[in-house]
Amino acid sequence: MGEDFEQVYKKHSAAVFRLALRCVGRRDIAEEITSEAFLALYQNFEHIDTSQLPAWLFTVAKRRAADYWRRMPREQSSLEGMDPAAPAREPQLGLNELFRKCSSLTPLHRVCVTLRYVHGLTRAEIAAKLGLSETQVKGHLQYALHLLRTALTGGKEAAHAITEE
Amino acid sequence: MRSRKNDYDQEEQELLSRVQLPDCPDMCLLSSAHEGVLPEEQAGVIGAHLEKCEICRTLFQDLESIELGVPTTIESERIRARITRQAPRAFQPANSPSAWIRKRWWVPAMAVATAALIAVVLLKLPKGEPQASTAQIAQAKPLPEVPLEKLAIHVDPSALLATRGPGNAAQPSGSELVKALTLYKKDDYTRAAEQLKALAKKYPKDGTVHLYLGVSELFLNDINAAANDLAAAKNLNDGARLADSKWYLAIAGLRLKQPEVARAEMHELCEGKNTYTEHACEIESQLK
Repeated sequence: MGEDFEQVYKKHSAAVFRLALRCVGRRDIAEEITSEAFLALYQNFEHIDTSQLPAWLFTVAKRRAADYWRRMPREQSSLEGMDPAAPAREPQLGLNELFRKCSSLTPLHRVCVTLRYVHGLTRAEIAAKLGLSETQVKGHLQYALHLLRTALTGGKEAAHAITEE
Repeated sequence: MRSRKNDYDQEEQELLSRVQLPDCPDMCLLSSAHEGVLPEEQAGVIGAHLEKCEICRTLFQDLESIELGVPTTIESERIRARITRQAPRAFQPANSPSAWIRKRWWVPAMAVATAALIAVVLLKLPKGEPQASTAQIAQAKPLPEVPLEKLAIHVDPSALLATRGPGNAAQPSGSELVKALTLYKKDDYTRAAEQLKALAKKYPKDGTVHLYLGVSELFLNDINAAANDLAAAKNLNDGARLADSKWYLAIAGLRLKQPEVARAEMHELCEGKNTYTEHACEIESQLK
């Protein structure tokens, strides 16, 4: 007895949403894409071998995401004005060097720091993009900055002095 | 601790004022380029940028290694509602009559053809005043108003002491629940919500706690929080409590001006046998 639509939905919907979010970066659009992928599945459910899932759903989601970017005017996709030939401008903080010095930073810490101090996003914007709460983002930033400062000063400040709220 | 937090805020402001932001593309363009969904030209620009920008390469690698957001309960509800709106029987069990209809594809196909035929005939009839499109009508139609009635506590709080017992890791003890539900019973929703919120944090898998918390939040007009807690209650409850969760989640949907959420819940209540069935069918038809 194969799985019914509800079971398949429960099993794969979160993964499809995550992929859609990676593809478009907007939660509202990721919601749309996820529902469209499952509607397509529902319409073809009789003919689909559920062992091909979630790959089939991922393919549909990616196609919808590609449509989204095709429809998006270039000026809204943040690429307007970007000159691929221009030399890269290093942020004044010298983050690359700091990141290399501070091996205890996790990828999530680095992502929060980069989005805040390189991309200039607010804590709320970072929270929305990463699916975290604003308080969590603040905690990660606070802790990451402390680790970076400790790395800069050669470990003179106790690593446990600042904890998340 | 407070002063440390303020120190951090000041330090961050100061740091931000010294930073010169480089011209890096939005992070979502990096991941979409990696997933291969960007048009060729844009993907080329991103690729060229990545080659020369180390900070973006690091960001890109880090994004790969962290799990990007799972849908929240309210997002999951909205996705489900969108599907149900387009395919009302999608979430019915496989052996239900709808599955039979799905296998016999020609039944709905005939229905669509008949509807199309009727539409053509109607279009050919002489017209009076220009009619608004159905979309316009749907948009102009106000959402039905469903009064918020208090969800009764089916068991007297004091009896919970005996029925719930000492509690365990999954559910609160009778005495823990009594405290919160007595406040709820006295219409002290603010304090009830505080107590229930603490219980929900401690016992995230207890459907009763989420249900009464959601209803309290509805009374406090904290609709977004109510929607999240009621969606959780819906996932955790069964039987009468499940129907209660759906009903109040539908009310939250209406208050949030999300008719698709309300309609999906009303539809499920209308299809089943519960205390809300009749009222739910009536509201569902108003939402159509």
